[in-house]
Amino acid sequence: MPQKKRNWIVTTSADRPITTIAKDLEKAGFSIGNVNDEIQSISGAAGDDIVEKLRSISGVVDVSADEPIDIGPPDSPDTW
Amino acid sequence: MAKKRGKQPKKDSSSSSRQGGKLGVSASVDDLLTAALERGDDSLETGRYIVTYKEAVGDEGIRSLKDRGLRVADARDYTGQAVSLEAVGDADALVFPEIGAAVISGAAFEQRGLSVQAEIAEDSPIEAIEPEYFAFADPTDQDLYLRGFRRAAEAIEQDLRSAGDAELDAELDPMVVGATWGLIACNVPASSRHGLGIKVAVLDTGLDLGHPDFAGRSVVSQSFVGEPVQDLHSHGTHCIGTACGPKAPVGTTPRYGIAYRTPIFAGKVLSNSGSGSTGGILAGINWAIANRCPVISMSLGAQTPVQAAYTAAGAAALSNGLLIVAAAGNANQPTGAPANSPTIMAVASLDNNLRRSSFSNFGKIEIAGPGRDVFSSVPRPTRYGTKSGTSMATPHVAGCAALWAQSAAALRGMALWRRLQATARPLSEPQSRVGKGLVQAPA
Repeated sequence: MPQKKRNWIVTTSADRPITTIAKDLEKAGFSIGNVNDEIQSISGAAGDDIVEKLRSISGVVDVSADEPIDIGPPDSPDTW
Repeated sequence: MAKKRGKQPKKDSSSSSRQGGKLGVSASVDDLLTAALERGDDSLETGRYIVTYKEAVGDEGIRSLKDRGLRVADARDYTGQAVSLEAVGDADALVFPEIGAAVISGAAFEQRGLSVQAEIAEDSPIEAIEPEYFAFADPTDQDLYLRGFRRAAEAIEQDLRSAGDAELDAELDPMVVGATWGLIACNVPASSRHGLGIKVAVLDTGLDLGHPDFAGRSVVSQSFVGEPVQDLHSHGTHCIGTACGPKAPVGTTPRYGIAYRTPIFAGKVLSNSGSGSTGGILAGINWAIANRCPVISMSLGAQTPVQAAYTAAGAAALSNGLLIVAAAGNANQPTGAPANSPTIMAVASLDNNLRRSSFSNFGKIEIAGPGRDVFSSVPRPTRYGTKSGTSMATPHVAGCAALWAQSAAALRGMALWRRLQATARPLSEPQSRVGKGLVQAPA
Protein backbone atom coordinates (compact mmCIF):
# COMPACT_ATOMS: atom_id res chain seq x y z
CA MET A 1 0.00 0.00 0.00
CA PRO A 2 1.53 3.36 -0.98
CA GLN A 3 2.62 5.66 1.86
CA LYS A 4 0.14 8.36 2.75
CA LYS A 5 1.35 11.68 1.37
CA ARG A 6 1.99 14.64 3.65
CA ASN A 7 2.67 18.24 2.77
CA TRP A 8 6.31 19.37 2.77
CA ILE A 9 8.28 22.51 2.18
CA VAL A 10 11.54 22.08 0.30
CA THR A 11 14.04 24.94 0.68
CA THR A 12 16.53 25.19 -2.18
CA SER A 13 19.93 26.67 -2.80
CA ALA A 14 20.36 29.48 -5.31
CA ASP A 15 23.40 27.60 -6.69
CA ARG A 16 21.17 25.45 -8.88
CA PRO A 17 18.16 26.56 -11.00
CA ILE A 18 14.97 25.96 -9.01
CA THR A 19 13.20 24.49 -12.04
CA THR A 20 15.89 21.81 -12.34
CA ILE A 21 15.60 20.96 -8.66
CA ALA A 22 11.81 20.77 -9.06
CA LYS A 23 12.20 18.23 -11.89
CA ASP A 24 14.49 16.08 -9.73
CA LEU A 25 11.98 16.24 -6.88
CA GLU A 26 9.19 15.08 -9.17
CA LYS A 27 11.31 12.20 -10.45
CA ALA A 28 11.83 11.12 -6.86
CA GLY A 29 8.08 10.99 -6.25
CA PHE A 30 7.35 14.51 -4.93
CA SER A 31 4.05 16.05 -6.11
CA ILE A 32 4.78 19.72 -6.71
CA GLY A 33 2.41 22.35 -5.32
CA ASN A 34 4.01 25.79 -5.74
CA VAL A 35 7.46 26.70 -7.00
CA ASN A 36 8.32 29.94 -5.17
CA ASP A 37 11.03 31.11 -7.53
CA GLU A 38 11.67 34.42 -5.76
CA ILE A 39 12.30 32.90 -2.34
CA GLN A 40 13.95 29.52 -2.99
CA SER A 41 11.26 27.12 -1.79
CA ILE A 42 8.95 24.51 -3.30
CA SER A 43 5.84 23.22 -1.58
CA GLY A 44 4.29 19.86 -2.34
CA ALA A 45 3.36 16.41 -1.09
CA ALA A 46 5.23 13.15 -0.60
CA GLY A 47 5.14 9.99 1.46
CA ASP A 48 7.40 9.93 4.52
CA ASP A 49 9.39 7.09 2.94
CA ILE A 50 10.93 9.26 0.23
CA VAL A 51 11.80 12.33 2.34
CA GLU A 52 15.39 11.19 2.90
CA LYS A 53 15.78 10.71 -0.86
CA LEU A 54 14.52 14.28 -1.40
CA ARG A 55 17.05 15.63 1.08
CA SER A 56 19.88 14.05 -0.91
CA ILE A 57 18.97 15.80 -4.16
CA SER A 58 21.54 18.37 -5.28
CA GLY A 59 20.41 21.90 -4.36
CA VAL A 60 18.00 20.81 -1.62
CA VAL A 61 18.90 22.65 1.59
CA ASP A 62 16.03 21.57 3.81
CA VAL A 63 12.83 19.49 3.76
CA SER A 64 10.38 20.32 6.57
CA ALA A 65 6.76 19.49 7.24
CA ASP A 66 4.27 22.11 6.09
CA GLU A 67 3.08 23.45 9.45
CA PRO A 68 -0.42 24.77 9.98
CA ILE A 69 -0.87 28.38 11.04
CA ASP A 70 -3.94 29.38 13.03
CA ILE A 71 -4.76 32.82 14.38
CA GLY A 72 -8.17 31.62 15.51
CA PRO A 73 -11.61 32.64 14.32
CA PRO A 74 -12.83 36.25 14.71
CA ASP A 75 -12.94 37.39 18.37
CA SER A 76 -11.05 34.31 19.48
CA PRO A 77 -9.28 34.73 22.85
CA ASP A 78 -6.23 32.96 21.39
CA THR A 79 -4.73 34.91 18.55
CA TRP A 80 -1.37 36.04 17.24
CA MET B 1 7.58 70.38 -2.02
CA ALA B 2 5.45 67.82 -3.77
CA LYS B 3 3.11 69.27 -6.36
CA LYS B 4 -0.21 67.54 -6.61
CA ARG B 5 -1.13 66.84 -10.22
CA GLY B 6 -4.70 66.93 -11.42
CA LYS B 7 -6.11 67.78 -8.04
CA GLN B 8 -9.46 69.50 -7.83
CA PRO B 9 -9.99 71.98 -5.02
CA LYS B 10 -11.68 70.35 -2.04
CA LYS B 11 -15.46 70.79 -2.02
CA ASP B 12 -16.93 71.87 1.27
CA SER B 13 -20.58 72.61 0.58
CA SER B 14 -21.46 73.29 4.21
CA SER B 15 -19.20 76.29 4.43
CA SER B 16 -18.60 77.34 0.86
CA SER B 17 -19.82 80.89 1.37
CA ARG B 18 -17.53 81.36 4.36
CA GLN B 19 -14.63 79.83 2.51
CA GLY B 20 -15.40 81.87 -0.57
CA GLY B 21 -14.73 85.00 1.46
CA LYS B 22 -11.84 83.58 3.47
CA LEU B 23 -9.95 82.09 0.57
CA GLY B 24 -10.53 85.01 -1.73
CA VAL B 25 -7.77 87.04 -3.29
CA SER B 26 -8.07 89.55 -0.44
CA ALA B 27 -7.69 86.92 2.32
CA SER B 28 -4.77 87.52 4.65
CA VAL B 29 -2.02 84.89 5.01
CA ASP B 30 -3.24 84.26 8.58
CA ASP B 31 -6.74 83.57 7.27
CA LEU B 32 -5.32 81.18 4.67
CA LEU B 33 -3.24 79.31 7.26
CA THR B 34 -6.19 79.02 9.63
CA ALA B 35 -8.45 77.73 6.86
CA ALA B 36 -5.85 75.15 5.85
CA LEU B 37 -5.53 73.95 9.45
CA GLU B 38 -9.31 73.73 9.78
CA ARG B 39 -9.65 71.50 6.75
CA GLY B 40 -6.77 69.36 7.93
CA ASP B 41 -4.67 70.12 4.88
CA ASP B 42 -0.93 69.88 5.39
CA SER B 43 -0.12 69.93 1.68
CA LEU B 44 1.04 73.58 2.04
CA GLU B 45 -1.45 74.67 -0.64
CA THR B 46 -3.18 77.94 0.23
CA GLY B 47 -6.42 77.09 -1.59
CA ARG B 48 -5.82 79.74 -4.27
CA TYR B 49 -4.43 79.22 -7.75
CA ILE B 50 -1.85 80.92 -9.93
CA VAL B 51 -2.53 81.22 -13.63
CA THR B 52 0.50 81.99 -15.76
CA TYR B 53 0.07 83.41 -19.24
CA LYS B 54 2.13 82.92 -22.35
CA GLU B 55 4.44 85.79 -23.15
CA ALA B 56 3.10 88.88 -24.85
CA VAL B 57 -0.56 87.98 -24.59
CA GLY B 58 -1.34 91.19 -22.74
CA ASP B 59 -5.01 91.85 -22.21
CA GLU B 60 -6.12 88.63 -23.87
CA GLY B 61 -5.38 86.84 -20.62
CA ILE B 62 -7.47 89.27 -18.62
CA ARG B 63 -10.31 88.89 -21.12
CA SER B 64 -10.20 85.09 -20.81
CA LEU B 65 -10.82 85.45 -17.07
CA LYS B 66 -13.62 88.00 -17.51
CA ASP B 67 -15.19 85.77 -20.16
CA ARG B 68 -15.53 83.11 -17.47
CA GLY B 69 -17.43 85.55 -15.28
CA LEU B 70 -14.63 86.34 -12.81
CA ARG B 71 -14.41 89.81 -11.26
CA VAL B 72 -10.90 90.84 -12.18
CA ALA B 73 -8.72 93.39 -10.41
CA ASP B 74 -5.74 94.69 -12.32
CA ALA B 75 -2.48 95.76 -10.71
CA ARG B 76 -2.33 98.66 -13.17
CA ASP B 77 -5.31 100.20 -11.33
CA TYR B 78 -3.08 100.85 -8.34
CA THR B 79 -0.53 103.61 -7.91
CA GLY B 80 2.87 102.33 -9.05
CA GLN B 81 1.19 98.91 -9.41
CA ALA B 82 1.78 98.47 -5.67
CA VAL B 83 -1.12 96.24 -4.77
CA SER B 84 -1.83 94.99 -1.32
CA LEU B 85 -3.94 91.89 -1.85
CA GLU B 86 -6.14 92.76 1.08
CA ALA B 87 -7.19 95.93 -0.77
CA VAL B 88 -8.77 94.23 -3.79
CA GLY B 89 -12.07 93.66 -2.01
CA ASP B 90 -14.16 90.85 -3.40
CA ALA B 91 -12.41 90.44 -6.73
CA ASP B 92 -12.11 86.81 -7.80
CA ALA B 93 -8.78 87.35 -9.49
CA LEU B 94 -5.90 89.79 -9.41
CA VAL B 95 -3.82 90.12 -12.53
CA PHE B 96 -0.14 91.15 -12.58
CA PRO B 97 0.33 92.29 -16.19
CA GLU B 98 4.09 92.91 -15.79
CA ILE B 99 4.75 89.26 -15.03
CA GLY B 100 1.89 87.72 -16.98
CA ALA B 101 0.28 85.93 -14.04
CA ALA B 102 -2.85 86.08 -11.93
CA VAL B 103 -3.93 84.91 -8.48
CA ILE B 104 -7.38 83.36 -8.43
CA SER B 105 -9.49 82.54 -5.36
CA GLY B 106 -10.26 78.88 -4.67
CA ALA B 107 -14.02 79.40 -4.79
CA ALA B 108 -13.95 81.25 -8.09
CA PHE B 109 -11.59 78.64 -9.51
CA GLU B 110 -13.96 75.83 -8.69
CA GLN B 111 -17.15 77.66 -9.61
CA ARG B 112 -15.87 78.82 -12.98
CA GLY B 113 -14.92 75.33 -14.10
CA LEU B 114 -11.18 75.80 -14.01
CA SER B 115 -8.99 72.95 -12.91
CA VAL B 116 -5.31 72.20 -12.53
CA GLN B 117 -5.72 69.25 -14.83
CA ALA B 118 -7.66 71.11 -17.53
CA GLU B 119 -6.44 70.62 -21.07
CA ILE B 120 -4.98 73.93 -22.12
CA ALA B 121 -5.75 74.52 -25.79
CA GLU B 122 -2.90 75.40 -28.15
CA ASP B 123 -4.47 78.77 -28.86
CA SER B 124 -5.22 79.54 -25.23
CA PRO B 125 -3.36 82.45 -23.70
CA ILE B 126 -2.81 80.32 -20.58
CA GLU B 127 0.59 78.71 -20.08
CA ALA B 128 -0.09 76.91 -16.79
CA ILE B 129 -2.52 76.66 -13.89
CA GLU B 130 -1.02 75.63 -10.57
CA PRO B 131 -1.91 75.66 -6.87
CA GLU B 132 -0.53 78.53 -4.79
CA TYR B 133 1.72 77.37 -1.94
CA PHE B 134 2.64 78.88 1.41
CA ALA B 135 6.24 80.03 1.60
CA PHE B 136 8.25 80.04 4.80
CA ALA B 137 11.31 82.13 5.50
CA ASP B 138 12.63 79.53 7.89
CA PRO B 139 12.21 75.76 7.27
CA THR B 140 11.36 75.33 10.95
CA ASP B 141 8.30 77.55 10.42
CA GLN B 142 6.95 74.84 8.13
CA ASP B 143 7.42 72.27 10.90
CA LEU B 144 5.65 74.55 13.34
CA TYR B 145 2.73 74.89 10.97
CA LEU B 146 2.40 71.13 10.70
CA ARG B 147 2.91 70.59 14.42
CA GLY B 148 0.39 73.29 15.15
CA PHE B 149 -2.14 71.30 13.20
CA ARG B 150 -1.42 68.22 15.27
CA ARG B 151 -1.55 70.10 18.57
CA ALA B 152 -4.83 71.70 17.57
CA ALA B 153 -6.28 68.29 16.74
CA GLU B 154 -5.14 66.81 20.05
CA ALA B 155 -6.26 69.82 22.10
CA ILE B 156 -9.71 69.63 20.62
CA GLU B 157 -9.87 65.89 21.22
CA GLN B 158 -8.87 66.45 24.87
CA ASP B 159 -11.55 69.11 25.31
CA LEU B 160 -14.19 66.81 23.91
CA ARG B 161 -13.11 63.94 26.13
CA SER B 162 -13.01 65.99 29.34
CA ALA B 163 -16.42 67.47 28.61
CA GLY B 164 -17.66 63.85 28.77
CA ASP B 165 -19.30 64.33 25.44
CA ALA B 166 -19.36 61.02 23.60
CA GLU B 167 -21.42 62.50 20.80
CA LEU B 168 -19.03 64.49 18.67
CA ASP B 169 -20.23 67.52 16.76
CA ALA B 170 -21.13 66.17 13.33
CA GLU B 171 -19.95 69.38 11.71
CA LEU B 172 -16.39 68.88 12.96
CA ASP B 173 -13.88 68.24 10.24
CA PRO B 174 -12.82 64.62 10.84
CA MET B 175 -9.18 65.60 10.75
CA VAL B 176 -9.58 67.68 13.88
CA VAL B 177 -10.81 64.74 15.97
CA GLY B 178 -7.36 63.32 16.62
CA ALA B 179 -5.70 59.99 16.22
CA THR B 180 -5.37 56.66 18.01
CA TRP B 181 -3.00 56.38 20.96
CA GLY B 182 -0.78 54.14 18.82
CA LEU B 183 -0.36 56.70 16.04
CA ILE B 184 0.39 59.44 18.53
CA ALA B 185 2.94 57.25 20.36
CA CYS B 186 4.69 56.55 17.03
CA ASN B 187 4.69 60.29 16.23
CA VAL B 188 2.69 59.66 13.07
CA PRO B 189 0.41 62.74 12.98
CA ALA B 190 3.44 65.04 12.99
CA SER B 191 5.03 63.21 10.06
CA SER B 192 5.02 64.93 6.68
CA ARG B 193 5.16 61.51 4.97
CA HIS B 194 2.38 59.35 3.58
CA GLY B 195 4.12 56.52 1.72
CA LEU B 196 3.24 57.52 -1.83
CA GLY B 197 4.77 55.01 -4.26
CA ILE B 198 5.87 52.56 -1.55
CA LYS B 199 3.96 49.32 -2.05
CA VAL B 200 2.97 47.67 1.23
CA ALA B 201 1.99 44.01 1.20
CA VAL B 202 -0.08 42.69 4.09
CA LEU B 203 -0.35 38.90 4.17
CA ASP B 204 -3.36 38.02 6.29
CA THR B 205 -7.09 37.19 6.02
CA GLY B 206 -7.59 39.59 3.11
CA LEU B 207 -9.43 42.92 3.07
CA ASP B 208 -13.02 44.17 3.03
CA LEU B 209 -12.62 45.51 -0.50
CA GLY B 210 -15.79 47.62 -0.22
CA HIS B 211 -14.93 49.34 3.06
CA PRO B 212 -15.57 53.08 2.58
CA ASP B 213 -12.22 54.02 4.13
CA PHE B 214 -10.39 52.34 1.25
CA ALA B 215 -12.48 53.80 -1.56
CA GLY B 216 -10.23 55.20 -4.25
CA ARG B 217 -7.09 53.53 -2.88
CA SER B 218 -4.91 51.46 -5.15
CA VAL B 219 -5.47 47.86 -4.01
CA VAL B 220 -3.97 44.78 -5.64
CA SER B 221 -5.23 41.57 -4.09
CA GLN B 222 -4.56 37.88 -4.43
CA SER B 223 -5.78 34.83 -2.55
CA PHE B 224 -3.61 31.84 -1.72
CA VAL B 225 -6.18 29.90 0.29
CA GLY B 226 -8.89 28.93 -2.17
CA GLU B 227 -11.33 31.58 -0.88
CA PRO B 228 -12.00 35.04 -2.31
CA VAL B 229 -9.81 37.84 -0.96
CA GLN B 230 -12.84 39.51 0.59
CA ASP B 231 -12.14 39.45 4.36
CA LEU B 232 -14.87 37.70 6.32
CA HIS B 233 -12.64 37.28 9.38
CA SER B 234 -11.64 40.90 10.31
CA HIS B 235 -7.95 40.43 11.17
CA GLY B 236 -6.68 41.37 7.71
CA THR B 237 -8.85 44.48 7.39
CA HIS B 238 -7.75 45.59 10.86
CA CYS B 239 -4.03 45.16 10.10
CA ILE B 240 -4.26 46.83 6.69
CA GLY B 241 -6.14 49.67 8.36
CA THR B 242 -3.30 50.28 10.81
CA ALA B 243 -0.56 50.09 8.20
CA CYS B 244 -2.31 51.93 5.37
CA GLY B 245 -5.57 53.44 6.59
CA PRO B 246 -6.79 56.86 5.40
CA LYS B 247 -5.63 60.20 6.68
CA ALA B 248 -9.23 61.27 7.23
CA PRO B 249 -11.57 58.33 7.87
CA VAL B 250 -15.24 58.70 7.02
CA GLY B 251 -17.25 60.75 9.51
CA THR B 252 -15.83 61.72 12.90
CA THR B 253 -13.62 58.63 13.27
CA PRO B 254 -10.13 59.30 14.64
CA ARG B 255 -7.22 58.65 12.33
CA TYR B 256 -6.00 55.07 12.81
CA GLY B 257 -3.84 54.44 9.73
CA ILE B 258 -0.25 55.37 9.03
CA ALA B 259 0.82 55.19 5.37
CA TYR B 260 -2.28 56.65 3.79
CA ARG B 261 -1.04 56.93 0.21
CA THR B 262 0.70 53.62 -0.28
CA PRO B 263 -0.48 51.18 -2.93
CA ILE B 264 -1.93 48.26 -0.94
CA PHE B 265 -1.11 44.65 -1.79
CA ALA B 266 -3.57 42.47 0.13
CA GLY B 267 -2.50 38.83 0.06
CA LYS B 268 -4.95 36.37 1.57
CA VAL B 269 -2.84 33.66 3.14
CA LEU B 270 -5.25 32.92 6.00
CA SER B 271 -8.80 31.72 5.51
CA ASN B 272 -11.91 33.40 6.82
CA SER B 273 -11.63 31.09 9.84
CA GLY B 274 -8.08 32.29 10.47
CA SER B 275 -6.19 29.20 9.35
CA GLY B 276 -3.46 28.67 6.83
CA SER B 277 -0.27 26.76 6.18
CA THR B 278 3.39 27.50 5.68
CA GLY B 279 2.99 26.62 2.01
CA GLY B 280 0.27 29.19 1.46
CA ILE B 281 2.17 31.84 3.37
CA LEU B 282 5.32 31.21 1.35
CA ALA B 283 3.30 31.56 -1.84
CA GLY B 284 2.07 34.91 -0.53
CA ILE B 285 5.59 36.08 0.31
CA ASN B 286 6.75 34.98 -3.14
CA TRP B 287 3.99 37.11 -4.70
CA ALA B 288 4.86 40.15 -2.60
CA ILE B 289 8.52 39.87 -3.56
CA ALA B 290 7.70 39.29 -7.23
CA ASN B 291 5.75 42.57 -7.00
CA ARG B 292 8.73 44.27 -5.38
CA CYS B 293 6.86 45.49 -2.30
CA PRO B 294 9.41 47.35 -0.12
CA VAL B 295 7.42 46.52 3.01
CA ILE B 296 5.83 43.12 3.69
CA SER B 297 3.80 42.79 6.88
CA MET B 298 2.88 39.44 8.44
CA SER B 299 0.76 39.38 11.58
CA LEU B 300 0.80 35.61 11.84
CA GLY B 301 2.87 32.72 13.05
CA ALA B 302 3.21 29.49 14.95
CA GLN B 303 5.14 28.47 18.07
CA THR B 304 7.77 26.49 16.16
CA PRO B 305 11.55 26.76 15.86
CA VAL B 306 13.08 28.72 12.99
CA GLN B 307 11.84 27.44 9.61
CA ALA B 308 14.46 27.29 6.84
CA ALA B 309 11.96 28.36 4.21
CA TYR B 310 11.03 31.56 6.11
CA THR B 311 14.71 32.39 6.58
CA ALA B 312 15.29 31.91 2.86
CA ALA B 313 12.27 34.11 2.13
CA GLY B 314 13.58 36.83 4.43
CA ALA B 315 16.99 36.65 2.80
CA ALA B 316 15.44 36.92 -0.66
CA ALA B 317 13.49 39.96 0.47
CA LEU B 318 16.57 41.71 1.83
CA SER B 319 18.66 40.95 -1.24
CA ASN B 320 15.89 42.53 -3.32
CA GLY B 321 15.83 45.64 -1.12
CA LEU B 322 12.57 44.63 0.56
CA LEU B 323 11.78 44.21 4.25
CA ILE B 324 9.61 41.60 5.98
CA VAL B 325 8.23 42.42 9.43
CA ALA B 326 6.38 39.79 11.44
CA ALA B 327 4.53 39.54 14.74
CA ALA B 328 6.47 37.81 17.52
CA GLY B 329 3.33 36.08 18.86
CA ASN B 330 1.02 36.32 21.88
CA ALA B 331 1.88 33.21 23.88
CA ASN B 332 4.28 34.88 26.36
CA GLN B 333 6.85 32.40 25.03
CA PRO B 334 9.94 32.62 22.82
CA THR B 335 9.28 34.28 19.48
CA GLY B 336 7.55 32.02 17.00
CA ALA B 337 8.04 31.53 13.25
CA PRO B 338 8.33 33.38 10.85
CA ALA B 339 9.36 36.25 13.17
CA ASN B 340 12.17 34.16 14.69
CA SER B 341 14.05 33.94 11.37
CA PRO B 342 17.21 36.06 11.50
CA THR B 343 16.26 37.68 8.17
CA ILE B 344 12.83 38.85 9.37
CA MET B 345 12.11 41.72 11.84
CA ALA B 346 10.26 40.49 14.91
CA VAL B 347 7.80 42.93 16.49
CA ALA B 348 6.76 42.94 20.16
CA SER B 349 3.60 44.53 21.55
CA LEU B 350 3.36 47.51 23.94
CA ASP B 351 0.50 48.70 26.11
CA ASN B 352 -0.42 52.39 26.09
CA ASN B 353 1.87 52.98 29.07
CA LEU B 354 4.64 51.87 26.67
CA ARG B 355 5.41 48.75 28.67
CA ARG B 356 5.59 45.32 27.05
CA SER B 357 2.15 43.71 26.80
CA SER B 358 1.85 40.73 29.13
CA PHE B 359 1.13 38.35 26.24
CA SER B 360 4.00 39.50 23.99
CA ASN B 361 6.54 36.82 23.03
CA PHE B 362 10.18 37.51 23.86
CA GLY B 363 13.78 36.53 23.09
CA LYS B 364 14.48 37.34 19.47
CA ILE B 365 12.79 40.78 19.21
CA GLU B 366 13.96 43.65 16.96
CA ILE B 367 11.44 46.41 17.69
CA ALA B 368 8.13 47.14 19.40
CA GLY B 369 4.85 48.73 18.40
CA PRO B 370 1.49 49.66 19.96
CA GLY B 371 -0.46 46.42 20.36
CA ARG B 372 -2.98 46.85 23.18
CA ASP B 373 -6.52 48.07 22.45
CA VAL B 374 -5.74 49.15 18.91
CA PHE B 375 -8.60 50.80 17.03
CA SER B 376 -8.75 50.21 13.29
CA SER B 377 -11.01 49.21 10.42
CA VAL B 378 -12.96 45.94 10.36
CA PRO B 379 -15.33 44.59 7.70
CA ARG B 380 -18.73 46.21 7.15
CA PRO B 381 -21.25 46.65 8.59
CA THR B 382 -19.30 47.06 11.84
CA ARG B 383 -16.60 49.13 10.05
CA TYR B 384 -14.36 49.73 13.11
CA GLY B 385 -13.15 47.65 16.02
CA THR B 386 -10.48 47.29 18.67
CA LYS B 387 -8.03 44.39 18.88
CA SER B 388 -4.92 43.53 20.86
CA GLY B 389 -1.87 41.52 19.89
CA THR B 390 1.59 41.57 18.38
CA SER B 391 -0.54 41.35 15.22
CA MET B 392 -1.55 44.97 15.84
CA ALA B 393 1.95 46.13 16.72
CA THR B 394 3.37 44.77 13.46
CA PRO B 395 1.41 46.96 11.01
CA HIS B 396 2.46 50.02 13.07
CA VAL B 397 6.03 49.07 12.17
CA ALA B 398 5.08 48.33 8.57
CA GLY B 399 3.30 51.68 8.18
CA CYS B 400 6.20 53.62 9.69
CA ALA B 401 8.62 51.65 7.49
CA ALA B 402 6.68 52.81 4.44
CA LEU B 403 6.97 56.44 5.57
CA TRP B 404 10.74 56.04 6.08
CA ALA B 405 11.08 54.32 2.70
CA GLN B 406 9.32 57.28 1.08
CA SER B 407 11.69 59.72 2.79
CA ALA B 408 14.85 58.34 1.15
CA ALA B 409 15.43 55.99 -1.79
CA ALA B 410 18.34 54.36 0.05
CA LEU B 411 16.09 53.19 2.90
CA ARG B 412 15.35 49.74 1.59
CA GLY B 413 15.90 46.21 2.93
CA MET B 414 18.59 46.08 5.58
CA ALA B 415 19.15 49.85 5.51
CA LEU B 416 15.48 50.35 6.33
CA TRP B 417 15.65 47.73 9.10
CA ARG B 418 18.61 49.56 10.67
CA ARG B 419 16.98 52.99 10.34
CA LEU B 420 13.82 51.78 12.08
CA GLN B 421 15.90 50.47 14.96
CA ALA B 422 18.19 53.50 15.12
CA THR B 423 15.26 55.90 15.36
CA ALA B 424 13.09 53.83 17.70
CA ARG B 425 12.17 55.45 20.99
CA PRO B 426 14.29 53.72 23.67
CA LEU B 427 12.36 52.03 26.47
CA SER B 428 13.41 50.88 29.93
CA GLU B 429 12.83 47.15 29.35
CA PRO B 430 15.47 44.82 27.86
CA GLN B 431 15.88 44.17 24.14
CA SER B 432 14.64 40.64 24.61
CA ARG B 433 11.28 42.16 25.50
CA VAL B 434 10.98 45.31 23.36
CA GLY B 435 13.86 45.22 20.87
CA LYS B 436 15.46 48.62 20.23
CA GLY B 437 12.27 50.33 21.39
CA LEU B 438 9.05 51.87 20.08
CA VAL B 439 9.00 52.43 16.32
CA GLN B 440 8.82 56.08 15.25
CA ALA B 441 7.63 57.73 12.06
CA PRO B 442 10.02 60.09 10.22
CA ALA B 443 9.53 63.84 10.50
